[in-house]
Amino acid sequence: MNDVIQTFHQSGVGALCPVLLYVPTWLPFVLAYLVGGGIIVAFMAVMALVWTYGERRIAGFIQVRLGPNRVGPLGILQPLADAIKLLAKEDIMPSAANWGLFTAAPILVFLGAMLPFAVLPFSERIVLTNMQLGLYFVLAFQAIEVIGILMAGWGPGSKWSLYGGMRLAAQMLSYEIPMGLCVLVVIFLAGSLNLGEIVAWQSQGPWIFGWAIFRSPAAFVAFFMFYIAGLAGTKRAPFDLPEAESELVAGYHTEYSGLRFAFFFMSEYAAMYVVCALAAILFLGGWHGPIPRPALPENAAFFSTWLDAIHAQAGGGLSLAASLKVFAGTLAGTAFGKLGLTIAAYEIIGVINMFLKAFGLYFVMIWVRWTLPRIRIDQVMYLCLKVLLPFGLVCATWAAIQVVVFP
Amino acid sequence: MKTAEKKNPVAQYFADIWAGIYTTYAGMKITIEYFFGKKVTMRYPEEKPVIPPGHRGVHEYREEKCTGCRACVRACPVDCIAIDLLGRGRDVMLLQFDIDYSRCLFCNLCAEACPFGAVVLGEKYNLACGAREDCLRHFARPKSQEEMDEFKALLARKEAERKEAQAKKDAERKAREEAERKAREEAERNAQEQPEP
Amino acid sequence: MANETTREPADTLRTEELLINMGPQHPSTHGVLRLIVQTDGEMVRRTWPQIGFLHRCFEKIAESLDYAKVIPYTDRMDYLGSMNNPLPFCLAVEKLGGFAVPDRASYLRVIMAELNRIASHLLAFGTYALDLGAFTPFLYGFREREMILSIFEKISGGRLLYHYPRIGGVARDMTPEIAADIRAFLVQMRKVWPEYNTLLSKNQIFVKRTANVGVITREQAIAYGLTGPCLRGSGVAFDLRKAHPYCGYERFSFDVPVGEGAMGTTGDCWDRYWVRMAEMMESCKIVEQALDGLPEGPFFEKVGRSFDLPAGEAYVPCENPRGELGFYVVSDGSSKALRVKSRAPSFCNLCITDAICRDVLLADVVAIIGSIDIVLGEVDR
Repeated sequence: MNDVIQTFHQSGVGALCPVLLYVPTWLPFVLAYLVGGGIIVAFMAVMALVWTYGERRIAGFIQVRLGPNRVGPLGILQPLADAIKLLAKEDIMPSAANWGLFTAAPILVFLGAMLPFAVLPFSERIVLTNMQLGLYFVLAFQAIEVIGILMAGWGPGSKWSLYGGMRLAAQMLSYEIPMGLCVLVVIFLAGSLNLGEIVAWQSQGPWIFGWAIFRSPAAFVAFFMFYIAGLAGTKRAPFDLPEAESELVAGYHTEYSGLRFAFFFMSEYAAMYVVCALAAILFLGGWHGPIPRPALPENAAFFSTWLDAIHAQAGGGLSLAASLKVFAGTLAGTAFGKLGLTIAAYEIIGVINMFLKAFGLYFVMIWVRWTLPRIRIDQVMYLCLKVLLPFGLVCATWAAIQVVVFP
Repeated sequence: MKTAEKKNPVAQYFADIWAGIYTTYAGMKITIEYFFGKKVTMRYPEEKPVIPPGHRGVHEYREEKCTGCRACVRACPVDCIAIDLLGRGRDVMLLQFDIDYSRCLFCNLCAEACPFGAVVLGEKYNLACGAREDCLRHFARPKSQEEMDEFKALLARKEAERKEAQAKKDAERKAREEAERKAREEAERNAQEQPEP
Repeated sequence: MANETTREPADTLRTEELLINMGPQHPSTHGVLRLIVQTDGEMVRRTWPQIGFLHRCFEKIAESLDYAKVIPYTDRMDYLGSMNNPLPFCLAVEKLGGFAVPDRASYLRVIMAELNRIASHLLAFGTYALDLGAFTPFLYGFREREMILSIFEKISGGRLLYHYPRIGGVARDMTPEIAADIRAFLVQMRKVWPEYNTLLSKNQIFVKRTANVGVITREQAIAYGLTGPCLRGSGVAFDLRKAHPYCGYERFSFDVPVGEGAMGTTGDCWDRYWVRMAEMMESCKIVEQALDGLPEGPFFEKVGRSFDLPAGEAYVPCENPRGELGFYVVSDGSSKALRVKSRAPSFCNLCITDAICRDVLLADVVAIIGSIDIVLGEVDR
């Protein structure tokens, strides 16, 4: 804190803003997290918006037609038009609706989709919080969506919504189990719940052959099962019975319009990204990917997050000045010299690798949606309990045995 | 009636899983081929479809060929054509040739009924309008009061000429008959006066 | 009998069976059909189809118009089979009036009817896939349908409602350009038909959704008076084009596809769907034979715009894409019919809904209705 006060006094700003003398110690800390969180939410929103366009364009191409191509060049401004349209709609609430549940539902669903972004890394150092229990956090908060869906089913007081909500709750909760088993395979093999450490474990082989899917047949099978379970958990086709347009009009979000619907819509795309990113991190080597990254020098000061770098700069504490310095310095390459630029390149290539894989899997999700028909709810449960669950147990056992026999 | 044979359930289980995987792969192969293939979208209104001749679209009316015979009115199943005219036969002036497009079936019966080819269903297809009244389209050129009066005068003149010609013909005929009658009387008198040889 | 669904506030918990309204406007009832469904959780106990939303008094209107003017109205009954609809009416009037139809006209009627059968089945295939959640086959089917519609536009002037078969023949003649278009279409159709099978018919998810669902037994099908693919899907090889040939169908060689329970039980939804797919290929065969053997000659027998039909009655059934479409024409000797009764296949096929939608899942109701392939224009007339 003294560092900041001293800096401000020296620069004369302190003379202008005496209130800064009384800024508490935790404020820069919180501000840093807020800024980071804001960037994450912005990324999620922009990505969801861009992928609504992407989905419609890909769907059009698969269906031998052009997708949106009028609004802006190649239809790029279409999501903007969609967003404006949704925001301008009248907010209707059915008269038989339960106000509390009706309003809370989109918020909870949005939270369940957004919170995992807090631990989802984009690269080795680009992550909001590098929790030791990161993986557990993601799986746990995906379950919050289910409460939101149940509220969305009952809240509007419509039979169609109720059908959708019930089906979806059954589906999402059931598919958490095979998802957990597949994740267990990687946890056994990697030995950690920390997403960064899991990727580091996957960087041990030559080029891409350190990836989890090449390290164990159990992981190979578990990747596909995780993907299918993820499709079901995010209610994407062929598991989109809850929002089956041709049967239930729109299922659990029949009665929502305007901004509330926008929340549901965005959280679906965000949840899809979480599943794709998680699959990429756990099974496909995360940011350690096809594009090789420049080697870092031996005595590079490795910080696992920006915050650690700030700690080091500020000598153990935290200060806004230190964080700004680290940020600017790393980008300009002056704070750490050549090392800063290399780290920046390292991170950017990591991000590109990560996006290649996550968005590649995203494309496959869209591709699958527009190819396959919808699976009936009892067949969905059959698939989960009688196919994915036994295979998941077999894979998890295999991974456990492999770790013990071949450490 | 054949029902599904009872296969070994374990074999059926694995066969189902394999079928699921394989058919998914086969289907996705087809869709990804179309993803990279040529698209069939026609970017209307920059690219317009080619309308073949004979397309039954909005009517085309050739007033100079129309004689107001009302064959089209009689042929129409929904009575959507309304005609009003001056004159008859070869001398007509069409005052009104309306088609009510809120009723028209585009069935082509009016065009088939017209003996002179005055009504034809053409290639225009764009009929969108904002009010129901705009569905009633007027095809006859609107005539001013002077034109109508002129035409009525023309009709009257023609009628007068026709009457005159008729009267002249009558007079000639009468004169001819008179002459014939006189000649016959003359012949009779001559026959009476001449003594028999 | 089911009455209006009542609105209950959301916080009284009722545990008896739900009455759900798959109302007239619904994405997967093929037109304005209202299905009242009584469900116990996800299981459907009973359904009550309610129709009449598209009733346009066709039969009454036909009593006040000359015979030639009734044909545009017949077009609009089954608006997806507009080349097939006027056929039984024209044949009935021609039978009563003793009009002879030239050979070329019969061949042209057959070609257009079969092409329309392909178009109608393509749409049935596409919308069935749409109901079950596969959005893409619909657009692939429409790409082929577009070719057929262009052909129809060239020969009749319209794209959906053609007014082409007339009393005494057909409206316009075929040109070599149109014949070339038809042959090109046949080549394309034969190329993409296996793709449809790979994408949808053999797809495991589709098979699981439709096999063993909505089984109509042979006896049930005959008892309820089903016709068309619904009947043939249950194993009854009855096709009017073979049993009571009209328009010279006896001259063409083609098979009548029959459901055999290939994926599940005979008479399930997959069988009815498969009968339609196979019929598309058979229709291609017929069109080819008719094109090759098209005789020269007039395409129209002049009967006049308004004529008096001798008193009498005639019923002529024809094979619509959806089943047996028949017109029963009663004439009293004047130029307008005394009574025209149309036997619409979709109306009779729809009656089976109540019998087979018992103790199935809600998703199955959608699959069953789609496999019966109704067109509400025909059901309500």
